[in-house]
Amino acid sequence: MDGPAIEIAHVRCVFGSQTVLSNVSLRISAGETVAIVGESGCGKSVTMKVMMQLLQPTSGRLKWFGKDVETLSAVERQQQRLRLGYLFQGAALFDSLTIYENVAFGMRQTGLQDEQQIRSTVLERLEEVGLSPDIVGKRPSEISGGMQKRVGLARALALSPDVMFYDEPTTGLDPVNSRRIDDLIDSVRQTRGVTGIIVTHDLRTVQRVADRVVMLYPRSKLQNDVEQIIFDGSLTELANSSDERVHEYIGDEFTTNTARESDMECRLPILKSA
Amino acid sequence: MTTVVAENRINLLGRGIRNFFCGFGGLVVFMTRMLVSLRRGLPRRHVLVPILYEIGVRSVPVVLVTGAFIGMVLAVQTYTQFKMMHMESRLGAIITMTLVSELGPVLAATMLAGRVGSAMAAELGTMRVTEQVHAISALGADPVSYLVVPRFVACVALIPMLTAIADAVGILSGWLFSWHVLGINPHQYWMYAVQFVTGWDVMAGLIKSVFFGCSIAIVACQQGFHCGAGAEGVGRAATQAFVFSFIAILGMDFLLTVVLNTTYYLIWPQAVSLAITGAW
Ligand SMILES: Nc1ncnc2c1ncn2[C@@H]1O[C@H](COP(=O)(O)OP(=O)(O)OP(=O)(O)O)[C@@H](O)[C@H]1O
Ligand SMILES: [Mg+2]
Repeated sequence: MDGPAIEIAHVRCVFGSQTVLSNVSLRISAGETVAIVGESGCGKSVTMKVMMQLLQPTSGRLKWFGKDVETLSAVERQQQRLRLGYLFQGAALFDSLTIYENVAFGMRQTGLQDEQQIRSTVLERLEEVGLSPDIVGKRPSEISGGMQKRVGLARALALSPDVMFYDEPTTGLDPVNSRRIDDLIDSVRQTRGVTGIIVTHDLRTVQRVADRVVMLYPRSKLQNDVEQIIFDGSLTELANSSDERVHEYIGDEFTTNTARESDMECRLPILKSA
Repeated sequence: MTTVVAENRINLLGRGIRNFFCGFGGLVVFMTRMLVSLRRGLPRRHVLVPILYEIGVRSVPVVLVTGAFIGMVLAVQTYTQFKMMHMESRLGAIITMTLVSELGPVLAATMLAGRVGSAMAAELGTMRVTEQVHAISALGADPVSYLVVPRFVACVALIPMLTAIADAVGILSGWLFSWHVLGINPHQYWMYAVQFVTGWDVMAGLIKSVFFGCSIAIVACQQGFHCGAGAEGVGRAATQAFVFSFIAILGMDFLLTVVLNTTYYLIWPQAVSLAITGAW
């Protein structure tokens, strides 16, 4: 399965009087893992939602697995969408349902598995993300934010998607669990060949799991209709980029993280050796 | 100076008119989407039952209380006038007629709009702002079929029952009050009630209530689905759901009364009803 899994071209997204995206084009090849970075509010989540077709862009084209989404029939679109999984930035668990029902939701909708199979998949996925089976009866409001995030991940992975969108998968997690999620993202990719698109502010996650980094720049700071993606390349290239704006972003990361010495030790070698 | 003011007023008027039609158009589009989803099948049982419980069973107490008070208020209000004409024995007719054709449906609908409509708008609005609506799409389900259709079905199916309850309780409380407090012959109360109020009147009230139920569900869900960002957006969606559905209820009440009365006189031209003799 080669060729682009997801492709957007000249996407423009306007909310009211605010232009969030314009002229964004991105190709994600099947099997690769791409990280999207950029400052807060620059439209990373919006880009991912456009790729998942959760938001209809004002203009622009979207292709899934080489097919223009506009030309698909409703049924086909539904089938194709099940090949895509999405981890939401705020987990977006259904708060009227229990953890178990949340993770089982997608499988129940497709109706292809019996309750026995669903149960074993749910427990397996929860274990994968490092959660104990005791919590299955709880409501999302009764567990911590980091746990909610992991349940959200388990829910998305339960449908065994071919492409996974991760919106800040490790934000709000402790170092142990954040490494665990990074490992999970990596293993999902190794074992099942899942294509990954990751939005993150954590360059360690980028280093651990991504083949390619894309940097999105806020539309409001750009002139005319120039490409909003100002960088596309490997992490090494990102670190060595001569672009002022890229430097500013990584530099910010440095200063905020070098506040703690232990962090400096682990961050400097990353960027040097990557 | 004056021209600027005039221009602004025209602008304002224009914007108002545009907003009205945009809002109305949005409702129509939303309703069409909902009906398309509804055609694909009824909601599943485990989704529908909790909503039926929330909308139906939990609304019964408030409908009982309002119905009971309205029956007694009607008795008090009409008693003096009727007594002046020495017609107080006919209190049963006016109370029953008013409740069955007008106050029962409108009150039950208002209670539903206040209790259920704004809660639905707030719930769906919260789901929208916390991305749960997107999550439903992402997991291969249709948010309209999963969230809106069951609420619509529940409202439409249950509001006639709630109306019937309000009618019945109002008539009963009116009867008890006029018998025990106003000293009216209980037999005459029922006799005149049965004599004046036809099956058609009862049906017309229930038909109206079905339309009210439709509009409550559509307006509330549409407000929730298109709610603005944050807690403020949710709050506004909840309030607007009530205000808009209340306006819709009253507007439709007027239109439906005209239509149903016209129909009545088309079918039975020589009929004389107590409510509107010869008005239409
Ligand atoms: N549904 C929406 N309606 C209106 N504006 C929106 C909507 N979704 C996003 N925006 C706006 O789009 C801009 C980009 O939002 P987005 O969530 O994509 O940022 P982000 O890059 O993911 O930031 P962060 O790193 O903080 O998550 C924001 O200014 C936001 O106000
Ligand atoms: Mg985001």
